[in-house]
Amino acid sequence: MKLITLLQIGGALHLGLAWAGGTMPKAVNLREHLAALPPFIRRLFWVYFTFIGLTLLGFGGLTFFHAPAMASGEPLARALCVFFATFWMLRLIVAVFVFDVRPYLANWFYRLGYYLTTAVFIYLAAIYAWTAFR
Amino acid sequence: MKALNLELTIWLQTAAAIQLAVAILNLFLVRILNWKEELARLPLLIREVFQVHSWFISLTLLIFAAMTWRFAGEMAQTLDPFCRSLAAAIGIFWGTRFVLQFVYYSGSHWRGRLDRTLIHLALLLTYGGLAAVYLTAAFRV
Repeated sequence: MKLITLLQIGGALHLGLAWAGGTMPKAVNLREHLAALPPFIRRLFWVYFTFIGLTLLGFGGLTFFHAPAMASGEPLARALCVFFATFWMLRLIVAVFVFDVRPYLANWFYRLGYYLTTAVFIYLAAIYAWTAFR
Repeated sequence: MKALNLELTIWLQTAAAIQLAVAILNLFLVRILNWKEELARLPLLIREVFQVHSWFISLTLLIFAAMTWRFAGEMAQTLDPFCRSLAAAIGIFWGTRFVLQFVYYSGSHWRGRLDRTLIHLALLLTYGGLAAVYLTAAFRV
């Protein structure tokens, strides 16, 4: 498969991650838990949440619509790929070593979602690293 | 035109420096504002999500800052669609943050307190300024 197509798949997968992130509040009863916080911190939590989503859409959109430019090997494209690879590598490390989501993986759907998102983190880290350093 | 590009390059590098500062500040927000006790009320996973979101927002800002600092000249001078899209994406990010500062955060957080009002205005100016610089780079003719 061509690198451009692999990058476009990566771009589209960001949408999937954004959707999966959108299901998180319901899965972990987020609203209920956040009710214990003062309003300012609660709002800040939602602002972080929104901007992580926006970041995913931005990374995904750039990758999907500019896959040929990203695969071109130009300095700007390589630098962006290095940063995206770092971002997803760190996200993978957090998923594996920081979060303990076991109590929340209450049904097969959530378990499947957890393993699929981890697989997507690996794919994105690998495809961006390969694009950057090939 | 050359002078305009040079000026935009300098504005972009200033934007990069500001984003670096915001990224670092964001990492220490909980400590600076003494939120440890409030966050301790949350279940462990939710607390970790808050912390990880905060790290990744800072990481994203570091990416914006580094890319902008290194490629400010290209962002200001070329008409390359990829470069413009990158500037547009960062501009939309900050434009959205600017709008949220108005419509999402309650005025009760700052109204009647001079120090908080000044911080609110400084944030508005920063977010609006960052959006303006990047959107100019993205949509200039």
